[in-house]
Amino acid sequence: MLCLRCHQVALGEKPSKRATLALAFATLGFCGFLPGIVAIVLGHQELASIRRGEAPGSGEGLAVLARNVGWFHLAMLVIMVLGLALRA
Amino acid sequence: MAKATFALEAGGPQRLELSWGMFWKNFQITLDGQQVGTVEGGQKALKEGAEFRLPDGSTLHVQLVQSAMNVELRVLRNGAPLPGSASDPAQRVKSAAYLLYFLAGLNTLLGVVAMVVMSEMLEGMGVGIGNILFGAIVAALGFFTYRRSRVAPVLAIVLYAADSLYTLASFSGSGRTPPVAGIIFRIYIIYALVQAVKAAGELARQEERAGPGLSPQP
Repeated sequence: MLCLRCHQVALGEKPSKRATLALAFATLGFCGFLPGIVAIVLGHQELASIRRGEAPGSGEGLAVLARNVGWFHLAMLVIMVLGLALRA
Repeated sequence: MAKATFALEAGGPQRLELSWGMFWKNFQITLDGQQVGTVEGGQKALKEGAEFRLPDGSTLHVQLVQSAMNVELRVLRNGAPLPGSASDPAQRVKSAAYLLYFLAGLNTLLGVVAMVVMSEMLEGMGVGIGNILFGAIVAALGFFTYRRSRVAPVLAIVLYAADSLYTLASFSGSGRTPPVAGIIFRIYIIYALVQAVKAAGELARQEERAGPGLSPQP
């Protein structure tokens, strides 16, 4: 059960700027993978803030998506680096 | 037993639980652990819809709606879809965005594999760095779709329709039959995006009706 302030924050309609930024970096990661690493960090930070009641709960979907897409980019980066190294 | 949980209000605790067995039999509704009602008769009874009175006096309506492309469990409270339910416009927009990100990831994966493996078979299929670029474009459309843009899913529909026509033309030109599964999947993608366009429009209308909020934005 959340405290009144936390409940009000959780019902906040717009996600926090950090959640949106996390998804933006996750999207940019499709152009080079490295921004995906920023998305992982921001996504984790946002989820921790949401659990503490310091950020709107409406950002949870954004943060989870950003974090998961960020991990995908990290995997792609590793595959690409390893693959190109083995070919060389 | 399959189950789904919902909050009665956006951002609220998930107090409502719906559970059912095989073929939608033994459909039960509980709120805060207390049974509100059941629907006997399985799929047939659910398709007709059922209404229940909640302890706070509101009316809960559950109905199974079957269309050509999917089966949807509609859960409405006083006529409005519950947050996170299939008919909730915000959920439809999110689902379309997730689909676009999935497609972006798939294309990116194919492109990366083609770059790393250098396979003639993949080259022959036209898989290459172009897939990575396509994936980036689809991801950008996914981002704006998640942000409830009405333009982004329309652009995604145009993109996928054009891609489908190009694929069909390529297969026809070489005298081969296009794979049926691929065609069905593309139709599903376009259907989901059309739902997202309608949902984004509905959300925009809701926001206009609601007006500016009383609490300051962070």
